[in-house]
Amino acid sequence: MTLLSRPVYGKLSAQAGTHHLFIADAEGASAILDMAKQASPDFFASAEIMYIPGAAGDKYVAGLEALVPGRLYRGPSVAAATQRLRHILENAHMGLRLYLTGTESLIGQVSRIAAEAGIEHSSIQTELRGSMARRVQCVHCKGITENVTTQPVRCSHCDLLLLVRDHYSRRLAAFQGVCINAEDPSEIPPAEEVFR
Amino acid sequence: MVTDIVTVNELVKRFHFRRTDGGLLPTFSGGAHIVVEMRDEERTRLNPYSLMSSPLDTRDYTISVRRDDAGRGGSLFMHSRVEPGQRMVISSPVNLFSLDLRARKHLMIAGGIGITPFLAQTAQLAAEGGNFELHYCFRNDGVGSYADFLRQRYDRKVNLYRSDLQETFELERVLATQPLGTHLYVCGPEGMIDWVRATAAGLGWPGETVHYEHFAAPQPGKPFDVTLALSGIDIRVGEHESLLEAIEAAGIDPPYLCRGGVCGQCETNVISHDGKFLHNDHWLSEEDRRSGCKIMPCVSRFEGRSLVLER
Repeated sequence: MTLLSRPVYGKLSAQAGTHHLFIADAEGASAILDMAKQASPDFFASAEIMYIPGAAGDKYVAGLEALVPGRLYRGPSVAAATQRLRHILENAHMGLRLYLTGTESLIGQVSRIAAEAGIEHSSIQTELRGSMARRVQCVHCKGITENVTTQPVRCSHCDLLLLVRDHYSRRLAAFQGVCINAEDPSEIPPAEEVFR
Repeated sequence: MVTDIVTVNELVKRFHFRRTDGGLLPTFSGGAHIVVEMRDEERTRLNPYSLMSSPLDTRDYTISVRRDDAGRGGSLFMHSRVEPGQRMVISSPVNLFSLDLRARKHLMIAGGIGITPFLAQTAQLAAEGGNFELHYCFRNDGVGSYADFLRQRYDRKVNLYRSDLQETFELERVLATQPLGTHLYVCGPEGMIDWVRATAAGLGWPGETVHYEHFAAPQPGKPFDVTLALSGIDIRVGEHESLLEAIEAAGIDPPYLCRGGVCGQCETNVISHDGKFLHNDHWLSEEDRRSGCKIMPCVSRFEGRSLVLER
């Protein structure tokens, strides 16, 4: 289904550039390893990889280390990596190419940081891998609920029961959640796990 | 009305236009051009020229015309047949080379008379405290129009390179040291534009950050006959006129904007053809060209037995 608001993700492919920055979470590492099979042998020498393993743990770390990138950073979360990422982008020159892979949540948050630094989303290579769990913004209290896998979902801030819409905001890097039972709060539709 | 004509150097003349009723001319943004109508006896020429005046003051429009003795006569007409006080018809401004105002920095590369759109763009940015850097390449002092003006006004933001003094523009070094979020703008001879674009692409500048404008004139070629199906007439395109000009000479008013093969506005459907297309544009895809179903009349030509267009 074509949704105008949701970004279209592709497949990573090596771009011309002077510096290549890969940011991935969990299963996204497998996309980097797949891309490496097509890349020239010295491609990763001018590449920097920022990896947030999450639930994937050590599964891909050895594989990424074997690429011998210019630099490999491992962090616990996007929030923890943000300051470092901003610093890299502040000091970067035109010629830096960005490759984002993993969950939609990671791609969205990093794209937003990149946009603030002057990189347009059309210049960024993206590939979805792994969990389709969503970041959801409650349209009522504006709080973000992370890792949403069910439909509907309780807002983690104000506790309203939210319908997780497919409407996406690049600015917020989140899907919109709107109260599903405003007319009758006693009506509680059962939660189904739909975003895996 | 042409209010003033200034000889800038041996090749360039500057023309100032004001409205005959003294009112303000239409608003425009840096990079825009106007199309000037030249009535040369039986022949009407329509040539696009970049506006170099500041967008902040539209009492006056200013253009600079570089004389091309080997050209099709438009610049020669402007240089020798236009007098101050003369009334001329000019189009509203159109901008196919605008600044991307989301950019953190604007990097401008000009070659020769390609400096003209940047004069308007720098005036616009300077008024808003915008961040720009201009690199201007020209052959010698005699033709470096506006080099002194730009240096005086913008000081270190302007870099000048005279090829007669062997001052080389280190394109790769300049491109490799720009901060993220810079947009690149290039205007000048076709060879220079191709060189800058290819170098930028190789250094990893994404396509949407590179903007360029050709001052392309249609190439002459063998005359050919065309049937305009909707108008019900046959025309002959002469050696030194473009298909678009021939259609206009027949009294028809087809759409156009850039007259240089890049904007797509004049795209025309081919109903039938028996011969070979000479596609000189930068607009149609390879597929469109091979299909033989489309032509860009402002710059492209045809060789063959028959051509029927949907005009």
